[in-house]
Amino acid sequence: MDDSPGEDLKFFLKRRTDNMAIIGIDLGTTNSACGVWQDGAARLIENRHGDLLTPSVVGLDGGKNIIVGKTAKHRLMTHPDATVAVFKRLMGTKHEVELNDRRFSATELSAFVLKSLKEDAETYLGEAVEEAIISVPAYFNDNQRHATKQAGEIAGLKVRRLINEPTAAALAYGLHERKEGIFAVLDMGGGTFDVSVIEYFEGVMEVHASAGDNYLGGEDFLEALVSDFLARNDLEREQLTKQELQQLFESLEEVKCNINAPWPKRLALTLAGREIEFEASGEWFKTCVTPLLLRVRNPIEQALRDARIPLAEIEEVLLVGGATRMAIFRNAVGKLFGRIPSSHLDPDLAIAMGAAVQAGLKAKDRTLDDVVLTDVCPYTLGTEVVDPGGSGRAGYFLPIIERNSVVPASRVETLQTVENNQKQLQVNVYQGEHRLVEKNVFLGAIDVKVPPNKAGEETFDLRFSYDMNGLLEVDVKVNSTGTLINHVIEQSPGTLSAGELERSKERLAALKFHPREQEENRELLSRGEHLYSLYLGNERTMLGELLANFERVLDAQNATEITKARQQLKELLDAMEAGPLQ
Amino acid sequence: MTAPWSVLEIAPTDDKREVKRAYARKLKQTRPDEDSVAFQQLHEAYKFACYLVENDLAIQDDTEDEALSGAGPEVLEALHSEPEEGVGDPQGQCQQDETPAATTAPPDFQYLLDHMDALLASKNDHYFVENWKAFEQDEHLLTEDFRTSLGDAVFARVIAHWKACEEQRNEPAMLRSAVLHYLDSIFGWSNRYYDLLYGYDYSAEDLEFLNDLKDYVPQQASKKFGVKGGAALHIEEKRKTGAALFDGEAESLPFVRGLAFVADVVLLALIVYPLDLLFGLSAQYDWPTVIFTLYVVLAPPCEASIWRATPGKRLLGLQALNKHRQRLSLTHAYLRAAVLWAMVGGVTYIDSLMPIDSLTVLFAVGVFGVYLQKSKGRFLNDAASFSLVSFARKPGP
Repeated sequence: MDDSPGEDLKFFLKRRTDNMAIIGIDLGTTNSACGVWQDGAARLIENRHGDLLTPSVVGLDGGKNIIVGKTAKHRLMTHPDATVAVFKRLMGTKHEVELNDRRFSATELSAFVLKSLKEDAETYLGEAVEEAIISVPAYFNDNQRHATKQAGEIAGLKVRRLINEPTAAALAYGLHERKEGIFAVLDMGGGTFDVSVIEYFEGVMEVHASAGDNYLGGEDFLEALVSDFLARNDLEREQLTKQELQQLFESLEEVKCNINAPWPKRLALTLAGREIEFEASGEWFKTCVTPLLLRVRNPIEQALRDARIPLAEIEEVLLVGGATRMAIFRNAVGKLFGRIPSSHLDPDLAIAMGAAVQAGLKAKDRTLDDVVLTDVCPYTLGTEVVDPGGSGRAGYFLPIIERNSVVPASRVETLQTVENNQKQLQVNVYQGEHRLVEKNVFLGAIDVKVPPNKAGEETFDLRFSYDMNGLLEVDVKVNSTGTLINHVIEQSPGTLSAGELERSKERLAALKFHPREQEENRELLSRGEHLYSLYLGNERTMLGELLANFERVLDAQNATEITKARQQLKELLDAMEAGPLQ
Repeated sequence: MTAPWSVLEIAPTDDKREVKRAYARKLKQTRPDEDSVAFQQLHEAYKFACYLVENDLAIQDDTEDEALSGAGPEVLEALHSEPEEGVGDPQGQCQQDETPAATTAPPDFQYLLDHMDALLASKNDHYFVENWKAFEQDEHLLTEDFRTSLGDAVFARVIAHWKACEEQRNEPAMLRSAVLHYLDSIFGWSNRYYDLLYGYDYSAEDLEFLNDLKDYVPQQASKKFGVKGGAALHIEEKRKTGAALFDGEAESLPFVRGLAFVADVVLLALIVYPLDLLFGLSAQYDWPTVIFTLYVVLAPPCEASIWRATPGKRLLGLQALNKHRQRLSLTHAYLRAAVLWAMVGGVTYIDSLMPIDSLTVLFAVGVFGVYLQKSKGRFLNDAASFSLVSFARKPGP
C-alpha cells in the first residue's frame, strides 16, 4: 500500500499543534485507561476493541510485533514466555523482564501501553496527540515518577504533569458531584494502596495529606490466595509449569472477582499431574486476605494524623480502584471510618477521568477556570548529615521538605563542613521517614567542591524544590565562593540518562505494533488459543482446525473472506466462552 | 491591615468560610503551577488565618481597645508590663547587666528594642520573618560589642516573652522557629548558648523553663548540620603548632633539613659513643657505617610516629608527610629511607667507578639543585618515595 497519504495527514496534524488536545492517562498495574477533557466534561476513550479499560499486559508475538492489552492478556497463558503483566511494580528499578530473549525494562513496557493508548486517543480525536497527563500512585517515589515520565517520553508523549491517583479520583468526584467538604479517598488498585484526605471548597481541591503502601493491591490479594491454595494442596510453586501456574492464577482471579457472590466457587484444576478439586468459599477467602486488610489501617491513620483532621469531620469516604470492589475490603473500611463508603464513580475509571480533568486544567480550558488543585508531597525528603550529637558518624537523616507539605515547596537548610580542610561535600539525597538514611530510599548524590577551611567554617545552603509533578530539584550554594550547583535528581537507580533514553527509543522503534485493522484478527486468534488451552478432546481438535483455517484465510489477505471468517469464528468463540457453568 | 489578612485581601474575620472564600479567590489568580513563590506565601497566609480563626484569635488583632476575649488580654498586658517592671525575672536582671552597654551604645539600641517590644506585643506581626529585618538593616550591628549586647537584650526578651506565653498557654503568640532561626543567625546565640545561660542569675524556676528553651532554640533554630565529603575526600592533616625553632620559608628548607640531619647524627653519636666505650665497636666497624645504619633503622619509626619526625627534625620544627599531607605509615617510612639510601649508594658506586670525584659530586649537586628549584624544597628522594618534608607550623602571615 502507498503510505504517502498517511504522511500528508501527519504533516497536516502537526501544523495544528497549537490547540492540540492533552490526554489524561491512568497507567494502572492491572488496567490502564485514557480520557480527554472535551466540551466541559471528562470523556473516556474506547480502545481498539471498544473497551474503556486496556489491560496493562504486553507481549511479543513470533515476529517483532508488540501486542498490548486484551490480546496480550489472552496470551498470558498460551505464551507465558513472551507476555508480561504487573510490570508497574518494577517501575523505577533496574529489573528487566525477558520476553523471547529480548530484555525490557518496566519503563519500556509501560511505554508500549502508553503508545497503544495514545494511538487509540488519536483515532478517537482524529488528530495527533503529543501531550499527556499521567497518573501515578501518590506514594510513588522520585525514581518511580521519573521512570513513569520517561515511559511517556519513549512513547512519544510529552508528560505535562504527573498527577497523584487519589487526587485525580477526588478531582473527578468533586467536579462530578459538586459537593463541598472533606473526603478521604482510598485508592486500592492492582498494585498500590493510597489514602488521601482532600477538601473541596469554592472550586479549590486541596489535598491535606496523602499516605500509602506501594506494595498492597489486588495483585497481593491474588498472590495470597495462590500461596494458600498451593499450601493447602501440598504443592510447590516450582512443581508447576508456567502454563499451569498461569491457569491457577486465572481461576483464582475469577474467584477473587466473584467473591461477593453468596455461593462458593468450585475449582477443578489439573496441576503437576494431579486432579485437584477445591471449594473456594468466602470463609477461605477471608482467612487468606485478613493479614493484608490489616495493612490498610496504617496509611489511613497516618493520612488523618498528618492532615490534623478528626475522623468526625470526614464527610465521605470514596473508594477508587478495582480492588475496592471486594465486599470484604468495603466492610473493613466501613468499620474503620464508622460509615459506609461510597463509590458514585466507577472505581476503575475514576482516576482516568480525573486525569482527563487535569488535562483540561493544564490546557486552560475555559470550562475549568474556577477550579484549582493543590497537592502535597507524600513523603519526607532530606539529606544525609553527620550525627548532630557529635559522635562524628554520618548516616543521619535531616528532613528538609516534610511529608505532606503543600507543593510546589521550596525549603532551604544551611549545612557545614565537618573536617578541617575538607575539600568536597557529598550531598546525598534521600526520601523516607526513618532517622537513619540507610532505612530510607536513596534518590541521588551531588558532589560539591569547597575551599579548604576549618571544620564548620565553610557553610552551604542546600535548597530542595519539589514541583507539582512530584519531582525534586536540589540546589547547593557554597556561601564563601557563591558557587551555585543546580541538580535535578535524574541519575538515580532505575531511571535512564538522556543517552539511554535515546537508545531505548531507537531500540523500541524497531518493534512494531500490529496495524489496527489486523488487531481484531489477532485478538480473535489469541482468544481462540486461550480457549484451546482450556478445552480437551473433541472441542480442542475442532478449535485447532478452526484456528488453522482462520490463519490460512488471513494469509490469503482477501478482505471479504477475512470478514466472513472472522464473524464465524467470533460467534463460535462467544458460545464456547460462555462455558459449561451458565 | 496586617498579615495574613493583607495577603488574603480581607478584613480580619472569625468566619472560616470567609477565609476560605478569600483564599479560593486569590488562588485562582495565583495558581501553584504558575507562580510558586506567590502561591507559597498565599498558602502560608491561608494556613495561618485558619489557625487564628480556629483558636479564636483572629479578631482583636492589633486594636487593643477592642473588646478582648480568651487568653489574649492577659498576654498583651503581661508583654507590655514586663519590660517596664523588670523586677524578679531574667528580663530585669539582663537589663541591669546591660545598663553600662546601653549607655555607651548608639541610640539605635533602644530603638531596636522598642521595635522588638512592638513586634512581640502585636498579635501576629512577629510571625513573619520579614518584620524582623529591621535588626539586620542597622549598620551598628557590624560592631561586635553592639551586636553582643543587643543580642543579649533580645535574648532576654525572647525568654521573657516565651515564659509569658507559656504561663498564658498562648501558643500562637510564641515565636516561630523560623524567627528564632533568623535572630540566631544575626546574634549567634547558639555559639554562646551556655554563656547566655550561665551569664545571668536566673532563679530555679526560670532555669526549669530555660531547660525547655534550650531544647528548643539550639535544635530548631540554629543547629547546623554537617555533611561529610564522601570516599574521595582528602583531608589535610591539622598542622601542629609550637615546638619549632624555624618559621621557615621553602627556600630555607634544604638548609634546615641539613641541620636536622646533623642533629640526628650528633644524637646517634651520643648514643653510640658509650656503646663504643663498653664494647669497642670502632674496632670492628667504622663510625659512619654504624651511625648511618642506625639512622636507616631508627628514623622511619620516628617518622611514622605521632611526631612525624626524627628527633632532629622535631627539634627544628619539620615533619615528614605523605603526599596527602598525612602521617606516613611505617612501611612507607621505611620505603622512603630505602629510596634515600639507594640513591646514596648509587652516588657512591658511581664515585668508586670514576676517579674524578669532584665532577661526580658537582653532577649530583647540579641535578639536586635543579630539582630543588622546581620542587620548592622537595628533595629527589622525597619525590621518588611520594613523600615530603615540610615545616610543622604554617609560615607566618
